[in-house]
Amino acid sequence: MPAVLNDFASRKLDECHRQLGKSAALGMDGVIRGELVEAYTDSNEEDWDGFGAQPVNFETLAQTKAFLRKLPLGMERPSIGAEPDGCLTLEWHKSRRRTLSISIDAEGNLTYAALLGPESLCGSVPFVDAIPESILRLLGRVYTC
Amino acid sequence: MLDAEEGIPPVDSQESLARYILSKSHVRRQQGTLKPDAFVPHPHTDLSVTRHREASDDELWEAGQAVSDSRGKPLLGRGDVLAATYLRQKLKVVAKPISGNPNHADVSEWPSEKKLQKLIASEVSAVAKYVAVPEPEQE
Repeated sequence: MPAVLNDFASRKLDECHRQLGKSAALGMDGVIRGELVEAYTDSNEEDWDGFGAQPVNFETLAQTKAFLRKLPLGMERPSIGAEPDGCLTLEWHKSRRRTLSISIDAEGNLTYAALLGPESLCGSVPFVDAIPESILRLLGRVYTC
Repeated sequence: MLDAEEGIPPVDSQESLARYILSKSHVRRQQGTLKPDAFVPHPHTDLSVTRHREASDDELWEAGQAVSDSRGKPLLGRGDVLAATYLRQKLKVVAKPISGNPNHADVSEWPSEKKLQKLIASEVSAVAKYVAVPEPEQE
């Protein structure tokens, strides 16, 4: 296929993804407008937790929005929170030992911890434009095992 | 509450320890359980808790209210965890009485890496019991 057609198809696909992302059933726009904004508003000042927490800054909010928008359509919605070092957190929680928590910082670093039955896993990966494969695999395991 | 004049005993592994919750984003609203976020100390090195030992439920809530008042944040509840849970994660629990709260203790010796702190906090939150602050009694 000529490059110009490839480019056109790619742009159209991105546009479709963006449009579907706005749907209540498939996308994360509802989470972004609701729980994410609420978590940011509650934690963007010094000492928001009462134990001396650092504020969540605007760059962290932007990274988290970008991450949510890149999630596959139809993905379970995460619960949004914040940690005392100023990271925002996304949590997918099926049960006490079927859970994944991801922290996102202002540079787009993802730090995760997962409890998957008897297994306990943790790690760090960068978020650059796309959801890392390792994160997608963990997300799948939270709900399918 | 413990009596500082009689001496503060070291923390026993079977003691319950309360972590006061002042941020609503630390509570899973649907399940009424606590997220790991409530137990991550980073950037601090210690996690502040209050021992149940020799404290009535009212005294525990009074200690939580004092924390809440000093920080200007509403008290939402507390996360109760056995000291043994922290010890199993190779952490230490040290009695650290403070003014107005002789039952105060610190959970210390957390690994410095954030990912390891998150993993420990996940293990702790998986067994923590969330107790919401009691509603004020109707007159």
